[in-house]
Amino acid sequence: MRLVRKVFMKRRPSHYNMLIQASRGMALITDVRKLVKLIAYIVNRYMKSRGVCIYLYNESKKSYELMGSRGSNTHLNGGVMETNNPLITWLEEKQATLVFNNLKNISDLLGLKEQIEYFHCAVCVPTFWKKQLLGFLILDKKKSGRSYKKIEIELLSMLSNHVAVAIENARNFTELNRLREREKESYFQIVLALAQTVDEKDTYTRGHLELVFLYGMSVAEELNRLSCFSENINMDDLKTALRLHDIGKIGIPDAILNKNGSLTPEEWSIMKQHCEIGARILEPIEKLKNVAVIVRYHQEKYDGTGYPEGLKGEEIPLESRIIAVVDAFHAMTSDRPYRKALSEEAALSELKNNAGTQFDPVVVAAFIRALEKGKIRKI
Amino acid sequence: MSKKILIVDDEKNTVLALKDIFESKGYTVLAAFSGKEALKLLDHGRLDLILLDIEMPDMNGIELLKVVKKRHSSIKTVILTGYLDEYKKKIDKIGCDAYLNKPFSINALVQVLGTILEEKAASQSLAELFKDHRVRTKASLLFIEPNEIMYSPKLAYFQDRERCGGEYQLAAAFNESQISEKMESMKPDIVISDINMFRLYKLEEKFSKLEFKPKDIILHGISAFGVRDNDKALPFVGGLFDPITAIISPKEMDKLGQTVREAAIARGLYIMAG
Repeated sequence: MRLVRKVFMKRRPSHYNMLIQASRGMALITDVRKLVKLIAYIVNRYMKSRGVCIYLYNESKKSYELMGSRGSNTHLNGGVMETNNPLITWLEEKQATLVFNNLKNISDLLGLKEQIEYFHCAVCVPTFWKKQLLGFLILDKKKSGRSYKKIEIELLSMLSNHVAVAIENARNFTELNRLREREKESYFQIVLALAQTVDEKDTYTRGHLELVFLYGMSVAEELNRLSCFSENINMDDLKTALRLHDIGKIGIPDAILNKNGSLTPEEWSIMKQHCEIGARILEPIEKLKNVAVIVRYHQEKYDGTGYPEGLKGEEIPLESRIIAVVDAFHAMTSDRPYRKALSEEAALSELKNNAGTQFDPVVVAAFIRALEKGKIRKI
Repeated sequence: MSKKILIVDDEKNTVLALKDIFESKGYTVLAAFSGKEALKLLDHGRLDLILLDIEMPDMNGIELLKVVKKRHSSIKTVILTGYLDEYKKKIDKIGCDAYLNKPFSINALVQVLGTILEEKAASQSLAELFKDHRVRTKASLLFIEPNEIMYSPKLAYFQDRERCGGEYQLAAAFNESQISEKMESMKPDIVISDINMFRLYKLEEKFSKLEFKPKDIILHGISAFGVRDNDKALPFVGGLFDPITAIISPKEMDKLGQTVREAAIARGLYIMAG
């Protein structure tokens, strides 16, 4: 930079400013497209050209794409340049800046002249990264009609080297963000897998997840069809919550989960923590924030006697109220070591008897309708 | 007359475990599971000390601390929280007699309370040793966990000498008979127990009857689960996303690691490296 200052500072402060402005942008901008647009703007402004456009290699399309432009000569050829374009062949071969006025024996080069004219190319500055042509900048003639000075062209080559580094950085950054997204996605997948593990660990509720899921979806469809509530059921959240509602059991001792008999009050107080543990496991995943809330409250009762917080009626999220009903129905119709499974009819009359106290009566009504329609069958 | 302490925490089992521990040391213990309950008990006769958590659903512990300082300035205050780093500044502004991080070592907690209540001289500060990376802890650890899934992140952490800064011999027990068997065969220096397991098998009482006693017990509870909002890094092991450690955030593991380290150093279980 010191050399640059020596060379340009006195005579051409504007060029020095151009480099400063460009490098500031490069340090700040982490999005390739925005970065390219900024460079097009800066170059066009300081070089006083009629127009400028920047092409970058697109890995998936195997061609060069217009990423940013200013002034004239934009969007020619739909903004795409194939890799066999003579202009690109020339850049790759010479690894140098192309200045139209300096070209000799141009007729030797098949089709190059046509391309140069077509793209209004007075100067074409390539950007290389590890000998690969990353992209290039095409500069139209100056507005004044004068030709570009040698010093300006040198400055552009210098800029193009900076750009190569900046673009690589920006690409890595984008890649990193993509990886982070994938990381979050895999956290979600893992949590799902863990839910499955927990389901299988708990001897008495094994296979519970699949059935509860089916019941829950049927009830939700029924509720949606009749639009029973002013609030809408978030079907995506409900689906996920149905699968994950018991994940907190991972923190409950096996000795309690697999106990051959009913639980002591002490054991119950531990068992009850599974709602909160589950919510804590899910909270960090941005898209599961709502699911975490549903999971936290799936053991609340309609009359406020449930846990963990004793929420009442509509204070309990609708999705949690749905899970409470289908979860209870499934539990009642499954065998336990200390009692036989209830018949479907007996379980149903339990639901009816507790509608309004333990359960949301509207959800119970929807459950009964779904059952009558044959959407819910004990398997 | 025995000293009277009030324990406030929304995590019920933590309160009950602490109640058992301090009652066995001869204190009179009152328990509150929420800030509001604590307020009621505060106006209810003489208290010597209040041991409180910060994050509680109905009333923030900071608010409670303010009330205690204002209205009952003679009561000593000790804070026990999993989020000490976030609240340290606020706590310092209001003032309290001591604070401790969760997960906590029973020894450290009993000692802190003893120092404050009896106004004994504080034992020699070990803070310098805790930070000194040349101090390498060496101890045998027995983990008492609800199941293997919960143990595996701890196994991974404490096996990694770089991460945990010590050399540990590890074992785990997942039910009552395994606990008895491991206590007998391994004679661990430090027991690290899930609070639920600790309460479920009445380990405080059980250990007091054993001939061999561990040098310290560390308890961790529900607050260990999940990743906090400000803890954006998800667990990676060797560049790969690790499925099992996903349940407990790396930050939480570091906290547990630090508590184990401090407990080991306090008991002289370390060597000076290099």
